[in-house]
Amino acid sequence: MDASVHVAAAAGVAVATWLMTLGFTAARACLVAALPLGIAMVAAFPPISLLAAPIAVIYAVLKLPPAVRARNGGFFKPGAEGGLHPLAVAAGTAIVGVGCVGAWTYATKVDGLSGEPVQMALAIGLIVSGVVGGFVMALIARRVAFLEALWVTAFVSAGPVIFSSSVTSLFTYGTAAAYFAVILLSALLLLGLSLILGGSFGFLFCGDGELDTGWGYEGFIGRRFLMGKGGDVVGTITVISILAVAVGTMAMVVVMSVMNGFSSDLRSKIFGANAHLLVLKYGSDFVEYDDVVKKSSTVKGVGGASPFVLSEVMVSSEVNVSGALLKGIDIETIDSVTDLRKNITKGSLRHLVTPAEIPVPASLGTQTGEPKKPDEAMDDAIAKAAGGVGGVPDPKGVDKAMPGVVIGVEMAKNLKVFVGDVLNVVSPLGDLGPTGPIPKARAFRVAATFYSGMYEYDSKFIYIDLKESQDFLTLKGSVTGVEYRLDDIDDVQNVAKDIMGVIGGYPYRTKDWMEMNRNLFSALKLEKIAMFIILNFIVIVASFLIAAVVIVFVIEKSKEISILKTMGASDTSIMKIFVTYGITVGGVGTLVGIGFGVGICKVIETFGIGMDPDVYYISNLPVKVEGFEVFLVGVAALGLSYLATIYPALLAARLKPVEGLRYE
Amino acid sequence: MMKIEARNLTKHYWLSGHAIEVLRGVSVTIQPGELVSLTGPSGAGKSTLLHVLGTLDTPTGGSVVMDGVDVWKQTPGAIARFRNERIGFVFQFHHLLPEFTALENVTMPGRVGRRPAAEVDKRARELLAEVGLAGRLDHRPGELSGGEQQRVALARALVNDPKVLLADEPTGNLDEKTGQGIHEIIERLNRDRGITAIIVTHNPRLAERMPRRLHLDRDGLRDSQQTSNVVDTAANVS
Repeated sequence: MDASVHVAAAAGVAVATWLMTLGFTAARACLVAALPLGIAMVAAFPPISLLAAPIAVIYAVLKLPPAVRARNGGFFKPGAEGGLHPLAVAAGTAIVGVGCVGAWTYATKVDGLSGEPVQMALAIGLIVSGVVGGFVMALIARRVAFLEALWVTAFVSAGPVIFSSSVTSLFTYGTAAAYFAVILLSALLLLGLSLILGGSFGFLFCGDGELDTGWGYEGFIGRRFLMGKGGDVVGTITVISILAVAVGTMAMVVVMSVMNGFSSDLRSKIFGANAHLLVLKYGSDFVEYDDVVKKSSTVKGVGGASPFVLSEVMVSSEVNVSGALLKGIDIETIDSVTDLRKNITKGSLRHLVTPAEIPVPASLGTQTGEPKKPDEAMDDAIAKAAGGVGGVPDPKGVDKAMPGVVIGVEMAKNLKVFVGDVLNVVSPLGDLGPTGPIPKARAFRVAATFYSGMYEYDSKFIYIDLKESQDFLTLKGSVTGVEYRLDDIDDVQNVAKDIMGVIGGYPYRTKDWMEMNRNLFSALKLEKIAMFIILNFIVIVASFLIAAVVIVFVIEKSKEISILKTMGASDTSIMKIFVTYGITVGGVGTLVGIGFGVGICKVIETFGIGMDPDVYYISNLPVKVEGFEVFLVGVAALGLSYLATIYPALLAARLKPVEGLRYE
Repeated sequence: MMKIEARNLTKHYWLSGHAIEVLRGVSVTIQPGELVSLTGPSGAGKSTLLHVLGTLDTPTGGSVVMDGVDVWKQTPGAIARFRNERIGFVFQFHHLLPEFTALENVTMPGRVGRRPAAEVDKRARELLAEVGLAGRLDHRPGELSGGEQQRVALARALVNDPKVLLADEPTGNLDEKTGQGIHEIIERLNRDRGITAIIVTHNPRLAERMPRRLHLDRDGLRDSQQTSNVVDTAANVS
């Protein structure tokens, strides 16, 4: 992974953030001229934006027209009239900086994490320090410090550029620059929203210059405003807003659950056919596998271990040829590692070691399906193979019988073979002849067919007995590796470390499921994150509706706001009244949406929606409701509804009492 | 009891870049327990002066000192609490909250002050009975007549037992007889409880009944007790 690409991506994100900050600051200072100036400077040399921004703002503030300056109290002035409060920006930046560094240090040093899990710790650090920082900024500036939050975000955006090597180390398996930029942007967005969230809390509870956690009459009035003038019926506009939030939340829950269903279906298929962890050895003399299995089985978290042989081969039947991955498996221990036995559709896994018991194909028997009566059309190979079965059962005859092979249903279809039919397996790595390696071929009889649900597996994998494979591939008693099933697949990195400790490290090495299926799982994860964000747009649209409704409300209620202020209702109390409205609409909408969403999922689960198995390789629409995700959806919907209310509620709070009292 | 001092108050409005002067250096001191009328032509700034004295509007210059405390130097929360506890307002258009019943409207300042609900409820019922509306507790403002609404507004202004009552043409919208009733209640409050009251009115006959009369016009504030005040304020305009 080229680090300079990531630095460039991070720098791009930082510059974009700075541009936005500049733009907003310039707009706030009513001096749009600062914006093209800033853009020109940034375009000339991006790092200059770090310098240009403060200069542009100072210039903008100094050049304020007098009428604007009368409204804009400039730096250090608390309350609604203040401009940009440098102290608040400094405090916010410091807190977020400490939060990020603290989260990082704790995760890497105390918890000993590295790579992907640190991302989570960092995200939590960002959110917590953002909320705290926003709160402190609100205390200092005595307002919801929107502009200050933007500045803090802009300062923090320089972090990934400065610490680029540490930041890229967060992505153990690497990531594309574009994806990296998207993640950085999301992190900054998260920080900005946390700052505003914290700021709104700070203003709501301490905005009047003193702590006021009361929410008594504010809730009373807010709830009464929810109702129409009638008092008994909920206002139409309120119902529409609630419905909008509910529909968005419902869509999120249902789509996420269906995606979960597909993803977990895929996972279970992959883990059914594959082990979670492999132990491999450098070189080709892995003969002490029994010892490795014995030692590593004692490691905590290991559910089962089984040695295996893996090799690329060619398979041919009478009518067709196919490439295949031959896997030699140990019948005794394979059940503790994969679900192969459960996936068998026809025949029996047992026949791999007792090939003499493989039934004669029904097509070659009589029409009544009596397998023991050889047909005249039966070719020589089968006659010979079935020799031990067709005649008198003879235990010693087993050795002479043709060995068995288990193939996938798709391969069976492709090669047009059934259980009992003969296949030729050709290994390219045979004995050395005068003209180079001579491919080695051996005939096998199909002992069983399996269906894993993954087309790739069902058409590519063939299984034979471990001993048989060692013999066929002339491995001299060695194996490719040992595969493991773990009790908790997410703990794979720790278990791998422990196993390596027990078996002595080099020349052994481990390979986990994440590495083996990296592309697939990272694609699934990305798809899900993208889906979450896209679906959030529905809720964002709904929250715009809430914002619009609350603004209309504020305008409609401006007289009432003034009256309440004459009674001594403080700015923050007025804000609380309208926040109550937003939270109630958001909360009820979210609950209704989650209720319907989960309900729909349950209905789909119970009755099922049929799908064409030939296309989707799955017969029913899979649904899996994840509690934590539903919770996340709820938090996101409620959070967005709340965020949407902050600005209009602030408009209400800032309304001067006399404005609503002008006589009509 | 509370003494109100306005020191050299000025108030400008900004309208499309031009400053409109409303108050030009008004200074006045109201002693505790005074009953004062404020008259003057429309647009002279009577309401603005009342709003500035009542902390509803910020003065452009000068200060409002109540009991020795410069109000506008306080935090917004302290100002709001001060307004809640010490000042009662009555307006021409009564300004009741239409979503709430008469009783809820009257209890509202008590709720805003986060006083115990039972105590506020009891006081509100007493006051509504006092203004003769004991039977209309659960009616919404829309179901009350103009005079009744104004009496509810008066009860609301008194529920927190304020020291000062500021009334902006409380009878301007009512007929003579109803208005007379409202005035009598205010006079009684002033007499019995010693509430300081400043009443803006257009009605010269009602103004005449007040012990102290202030007249605000373009030349400044004229005080019935202190005629030289005019000169003072004029000198302050410059």
